[in-house]
Amino acid sequence: MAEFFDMGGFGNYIWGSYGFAVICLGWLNYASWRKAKTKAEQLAILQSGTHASPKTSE
Amino acid sequence: MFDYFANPSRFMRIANRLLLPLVILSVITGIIGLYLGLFFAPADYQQGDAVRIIYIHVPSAWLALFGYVGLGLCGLFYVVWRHPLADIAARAIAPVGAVFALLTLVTGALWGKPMWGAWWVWDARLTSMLILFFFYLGFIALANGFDRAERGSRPAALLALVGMINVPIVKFSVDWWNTLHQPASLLRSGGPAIDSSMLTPLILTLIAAHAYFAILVILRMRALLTERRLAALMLRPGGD
Repeated sequence: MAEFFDMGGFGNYIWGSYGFAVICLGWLNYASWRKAKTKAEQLAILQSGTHASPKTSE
Repeated sequence: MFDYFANPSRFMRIANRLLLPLVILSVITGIIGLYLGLFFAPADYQQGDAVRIIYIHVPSAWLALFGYVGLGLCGLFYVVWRHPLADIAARAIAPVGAVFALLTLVTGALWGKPMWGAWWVWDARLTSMLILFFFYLGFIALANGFDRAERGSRPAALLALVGMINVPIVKFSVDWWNTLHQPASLLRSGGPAIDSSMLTPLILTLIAAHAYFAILVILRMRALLTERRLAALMLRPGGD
């Protein structure tokens, strides 16, 4: 197992590359999902608010 | 056909339907590709195990480049037809492409240090890739640099178009100049110059990266379209 992680002496470079890729792509994925979700929630709140407004004015 | 897909809500309906198959495709090809690449593909006779960095470096580089072609085409559609969906797509592509370009540069440096003895050299391929990354950053800065988002769309689209000149330079830099970076191994005349034991995981990770790129762009387009609808609702008389 240690031999696998050592990668013939290139372990730091290889796992550094894979680690950086996981962090970057993971963060981008999380940020994109969160933004899409937050905006959809905001829209839902605003739309329910605008639909409700005529009733409240009655 | 262009008009058919250019309708934002129709486009998003189709894109949302594609999301799950893309997630499945990306996960399956990514897991198999990385498993084969890390466990089964042999070490290179010159590079040793360091060659395994290609399974991230090459897909990242392809997506950085393809992403920019997408950005440039969106820029063209926006400048010529002023279609808002082209602007939305470009704004969604830019940060994703920028991250892939950054990944290309960083993984390239991590490969370069043990192989070339240097993190960075001012070689034509590396320099043109760095310029591509700066074009992405320039697009993001210009597109978001105005109080009203739409005001930045046209200058950003024009910048995206100007940056297209760099795309063939990145691709052919290894043929036009005597670079330290090796020439193309996949898209070359005479077919791929890689053994199938390394080619299979590379093709799988390439498919995974393309699907992942598409997922991220769809998600960002969805968020941007919702943001535009929110802004329109807020501006409507009677809206907050």
